[in-house]
Amino acid sequence: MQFNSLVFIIFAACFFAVWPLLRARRNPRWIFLVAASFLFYGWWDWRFLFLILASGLIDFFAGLGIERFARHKRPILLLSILGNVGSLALFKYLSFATGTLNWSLRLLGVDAQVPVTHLILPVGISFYTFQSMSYTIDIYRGELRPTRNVFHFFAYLSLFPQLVAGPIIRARDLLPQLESARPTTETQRWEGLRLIVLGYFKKVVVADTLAFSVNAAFAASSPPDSACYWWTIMVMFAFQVFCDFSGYSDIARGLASWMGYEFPLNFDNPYTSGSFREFWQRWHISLSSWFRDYVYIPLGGSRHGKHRAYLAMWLTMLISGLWHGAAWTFVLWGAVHAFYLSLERLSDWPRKLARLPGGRHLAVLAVFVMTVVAWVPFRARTFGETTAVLSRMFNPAHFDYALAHKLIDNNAVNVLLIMLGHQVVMYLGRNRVLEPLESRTGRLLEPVAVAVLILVCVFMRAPSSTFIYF
Amino acid sequence: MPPIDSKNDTRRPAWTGLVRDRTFRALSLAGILVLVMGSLRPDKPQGISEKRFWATKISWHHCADMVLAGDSRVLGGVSPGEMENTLTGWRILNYGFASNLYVPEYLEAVEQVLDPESRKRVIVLGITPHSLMEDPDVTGQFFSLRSLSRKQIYFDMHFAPVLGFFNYMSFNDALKGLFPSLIKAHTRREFFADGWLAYDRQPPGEKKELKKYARAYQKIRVSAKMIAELNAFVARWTRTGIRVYSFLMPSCREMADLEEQYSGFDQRQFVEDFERAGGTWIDLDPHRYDSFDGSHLGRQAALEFSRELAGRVRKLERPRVDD
Repeated sequence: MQFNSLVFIIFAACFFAVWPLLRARRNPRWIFLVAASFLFYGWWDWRFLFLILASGLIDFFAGLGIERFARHKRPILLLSILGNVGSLALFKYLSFATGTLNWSLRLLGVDAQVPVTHLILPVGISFYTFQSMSYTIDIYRGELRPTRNVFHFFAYLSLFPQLVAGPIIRARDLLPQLESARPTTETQRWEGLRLIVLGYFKKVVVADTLAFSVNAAFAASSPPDSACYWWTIMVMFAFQVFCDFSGYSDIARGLASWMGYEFPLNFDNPYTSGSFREFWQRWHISLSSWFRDYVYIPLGGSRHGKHRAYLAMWLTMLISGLWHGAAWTFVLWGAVHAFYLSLERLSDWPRKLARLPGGRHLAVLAVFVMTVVAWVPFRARTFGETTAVLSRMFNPAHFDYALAHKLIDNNAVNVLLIMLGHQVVMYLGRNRVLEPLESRTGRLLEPVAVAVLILVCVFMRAPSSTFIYF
Repeated sequence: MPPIDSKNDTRRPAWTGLVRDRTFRALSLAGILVLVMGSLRPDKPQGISEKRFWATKISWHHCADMVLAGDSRVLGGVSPGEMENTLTGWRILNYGFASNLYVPEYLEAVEQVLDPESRKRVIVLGITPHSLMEDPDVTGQFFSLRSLSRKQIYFDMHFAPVLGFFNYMSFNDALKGLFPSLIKAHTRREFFADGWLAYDRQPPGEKKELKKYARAYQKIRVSAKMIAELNAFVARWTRTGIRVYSFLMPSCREMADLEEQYSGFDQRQFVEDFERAGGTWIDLDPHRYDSFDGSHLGRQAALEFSRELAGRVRKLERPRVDD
């Protein structure tokens, strides 16, 4: 079930009605968390449950095996990784791989075709396999002791707020939290509500409104040839993807807060970054840090000289692109970002630019514009579409503001302007605007603001659509 | 967001000190605001709830003696209830959908609505040139409803009256609800359990639909393939004892002229082929009724038209039913 569905709201209401009764004791708490999370996940398709169960059991027993048979911990870890990567490869990348293989065979003039198999893609598989893998790897590295309670483990792996779209939480951060569940404090409940409402606002008002214009632009049989139109559409997409995903993370963090747990910040105003290094420290932080710790550093990181560091960074970005979707356009998106990061390391342009008067502002603007360009292959379905959109964006002869104004929905433009204004406020004042006000006036006014935001979410939501990362 | 501050933790159980609890305050205030704004909605739809209407309609199966098929002009232009006043004892349903096309999937579904046990099985096809076009830009409401999951249909059927209260509305709408004098025109819709969606716009608006259709007819024309497929169904139905009637759905004079000139619809040829397939054409005066938007009949016109159509069907049906 999706966060933006009525079913989920009913589910959440039932869950939080029962939660205070069961949270005090360990086993009932974990069993209840697992049962609720399995209901949440099985609502899409009950058959998915077998996969998460299998994937989880492999890592649960691998964790115990690594501790018990320390001398054989390497093959046990390899088996666990193989199980996780294997299921991901099978369900997510099989048809992509066979499609690529067939294309390569055609290119080589070989008259043979491997039959393409389309398996159903279990929701959230990319997230929970990564989360599950980090558990065994951390045990292997000696950074975590395995849990001996299978319900404790599955409560960690399948905890419904973060199960299908993150944040990806390390076992060492969440397992200890799940050991206890004290009654929530007023501050936790308030913090949770603020995050949930903000998350819903981002998803159902901003992302879904922008999605309407973006989807129409990419679905048009004869797209308009106006650079202004396509830049507006791609800036809209930049905010759509940000609000869609960070909205999900905010809701997840808010729900966790209501349960008495704390999930880490996943998006820290990434579009106000002054460099691409900073961007990746602020965008999807839990995934970026996962790739850093489990891919980039094991590949050598920056410890083995410049060239090795570039190679590790490129490989990490390409794998990260492929993780986002089984298509070459996603790999291209990863490559574009790897190129940006390489350029930045080579020239150090953000720092040099920042030294000039107004240079820091220019650097932020440049990073944002380049990020928008990189979103093109991410949104486009094919290389052809990517090049078509890019050629329209970079054709100043066809700027045509009037056409863009006529074609783009006014509602979406208003939402975009609000988001741009919000970014400027964030950039100038950083996060302070959104911090809870503990003064007497703040405690009176903030609930009013949140109530109005709920009202806006209820009545001014756009037609609901699924989350992009599903 | 900053980390949770434990300085101000009051550690109160959830059920005490509610008034000082910001979460409770915000949720209570939100509840009041939602109730107020929802009840301010101007021109609230009447009848059964909209989602329930569509969910029920797409689920009809073996339950009618007569099915009225077609696009949004049939949906809003023919009242089964009004027809039943003339055709007493008949179970009539309006199976029209917005942007509907006479594609085989739809025609199969029309047949499935008829009760196979009924002695008087009739399908009435409301013809519009647009419903006979292969329009790549139109998926049609029928297909989007057919793609709804069983869970969604269940929810729409059982929880729709509550959900309807939360339908999208702008602050502008709320303002109009608060100050009805701001409303220049009322568009009222009433959803009937028999599948009729009655529109009523006061005062009638500009005929905006004419422009839309003029644009559409620049790109697409009536499809001979679709007509042939429709007639194949008509032939099959008549062979199995289902009587099939058809008529040109009235709209307004300007639309009739536009469609005659640009849609590529040859009515004489269509009637010939349709009757050869076994159907019976009902000739109605397309200029007798007027539309509120250039395409659809308003409530009163729809009621008058339904009476006329029912009268014509009764004349054709009487000898057979009496048998």
